Amino acid sequence: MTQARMFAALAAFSVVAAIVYGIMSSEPAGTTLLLLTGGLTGLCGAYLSWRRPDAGAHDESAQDAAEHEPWFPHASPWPFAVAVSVVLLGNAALLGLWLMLPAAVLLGASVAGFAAQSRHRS
Amino acid sequence: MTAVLTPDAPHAAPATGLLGWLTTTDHKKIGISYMVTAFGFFMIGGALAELIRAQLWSPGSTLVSASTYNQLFTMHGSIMMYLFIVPFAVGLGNYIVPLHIGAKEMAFPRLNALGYWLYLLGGLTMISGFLTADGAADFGWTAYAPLSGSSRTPSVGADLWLIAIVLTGLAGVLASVNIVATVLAMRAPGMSMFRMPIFTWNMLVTSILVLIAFPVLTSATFMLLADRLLGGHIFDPAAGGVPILWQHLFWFFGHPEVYIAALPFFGVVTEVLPVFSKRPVFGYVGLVFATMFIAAFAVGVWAHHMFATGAVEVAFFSGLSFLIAVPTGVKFFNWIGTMWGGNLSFGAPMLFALGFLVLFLLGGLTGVLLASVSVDLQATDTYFVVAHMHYVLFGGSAFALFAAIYFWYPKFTGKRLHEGWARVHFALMFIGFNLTFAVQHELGLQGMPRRVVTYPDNALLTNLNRISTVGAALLGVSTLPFLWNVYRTWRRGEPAGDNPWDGHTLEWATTSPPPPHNFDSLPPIRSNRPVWDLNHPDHQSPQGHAR
Repeated sequence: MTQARMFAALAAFSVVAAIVYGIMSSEPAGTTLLLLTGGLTGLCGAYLSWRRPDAGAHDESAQDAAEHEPWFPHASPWPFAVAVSVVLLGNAALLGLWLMLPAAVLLGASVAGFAAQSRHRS
Repeated sequence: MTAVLTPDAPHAAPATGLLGWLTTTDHKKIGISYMVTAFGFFMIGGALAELIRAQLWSPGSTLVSASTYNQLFTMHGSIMMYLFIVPFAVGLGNYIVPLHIGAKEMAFPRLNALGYWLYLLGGLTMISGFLTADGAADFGWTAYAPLSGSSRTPSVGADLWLIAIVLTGLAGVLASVNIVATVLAMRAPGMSMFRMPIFTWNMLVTSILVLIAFPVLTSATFMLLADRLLGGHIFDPAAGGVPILWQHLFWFFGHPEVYIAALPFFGVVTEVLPVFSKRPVFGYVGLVFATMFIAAFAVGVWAHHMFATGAVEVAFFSGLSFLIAVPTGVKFFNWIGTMWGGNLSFGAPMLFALGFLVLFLLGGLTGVLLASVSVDLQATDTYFVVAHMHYVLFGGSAFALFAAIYFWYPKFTGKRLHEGWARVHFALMFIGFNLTFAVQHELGLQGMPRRVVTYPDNALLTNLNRISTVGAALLGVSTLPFLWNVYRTWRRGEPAGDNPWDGHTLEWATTSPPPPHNFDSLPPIRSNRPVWDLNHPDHQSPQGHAR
């Protein structure tokens, strides 16, 4: 619950700050941003109070821990491929719009590779 | 009782060399990559700073042109803020957080790698502006509209800068999602929230701040790119746009950014002081709450950077800015309380942590002055603000950053950096830093504006600027003993052992460097310093909350 409370407190602070700031300043940009901050942290708090992944709170036996062992890939070429294609896509706006097409194709292929690796757990 | 972790499933031998680096998903290798890359950018940003100081050696100097000077201070600030201090903290968090909570990996290893590559390639995109015909971005690291619009800054370097901000901003968000998920879901049995080391607490809160702040900057940057490349008018007053909107959006990112650059290093100091005082951290819960209060206030003070516009709600921002001094003061109280009556030893990490305490205090005090609107209006955009900001970010964060390197280098490599060279490094850096920036307070009070290529021919201004430039040279030289120390230790350092400092937290329970799965076994976790409890059964720590 500690985690949910932490996010809830941040959400409450942001919403109160948004109301006070909105009334004092009538300035729309900051008021919106503070409300959105409240929404973001409130969303996390609500999720955590629902799911409660308080990992360290349960004294799971070693066997339970092994059964719930998440899968960690030991190596993957896909993060690098995704990053290169995203960077090419960004720079295409400057280097020439023709670059957008190969960059988008590369991005699609590397995201597909990323997903396939997760499915096959290689 | 010792919880036994399952060994790795059998798998093909991981690739080594360049291919191994390009495909790694190991949080430790990614963490080291972040830190080495960030240090490389630090040296580039530092070289730009040396050029700035060389230009200011005498009034009317023509070492660099006014246009080049604008590029120098813009890229110096941008590299240090976006590519050095925060990514270094991310790298440190990447390496240390899973070890601190007894996890074998980060929650999302491939997302972690993606974040690093976006950061590296985004950073290279930013500095590639220097290779274009018109040079790099030259509108300041704050990119204020309408100066950053396409009519006033048509250069390609500016577009590269903006694209780099989007890429590195995305990298920061990915890294932060990963750290939050890791802390929330990957803690070892017994590692409750209130038993986590303060560094890990601070990385968690910092990551939440990143998730609040970075998307705002990324969106604002997209808006500016739309204005520049697609003919938008969001920040164009001639077409009904609102230039001051950029300042609100930028500083809604920019002020939390200051704490994003500081909180991880507060965490570092909070790890170093107890170990070198041989005492538990004083006021653990107080430190956790102080961090949270700082984070909460940090999202409500953005417009204290905008007092001079005359268009902000002064009472709200001034009040909250003063209030931030309270949780920061609580932290100082607890740091002193940790050392009070302790059995102090002054190894290199402790020296840098003490340097941090002194310099960050000075930077914090000028910050309280600047929170007062009447003072701020006098000092805004002068060297007083430059001095304040460097005392906080360099005197604070960068000193603690070196404390972290000296503290955890044995864990990273299994070897301990040479103590004598570390002392030379500290002495040069401390003297050089204060020579450079202490005089800038007076320069600012004498009215010297920042970001200007020259200054009036006047004996006082010239002398103060020369002291500052000599200090900057010393500060640059101070990096050499550090680099030599890293090199010589790497080549022929003595093995450090697994726990050279008699550390308190879980990273010292494993080998140096740790195996790929981090821990062969974990000690029981019944307090916030399980390794101390294991090694000193006669001095048990008070047990933290079980939740």
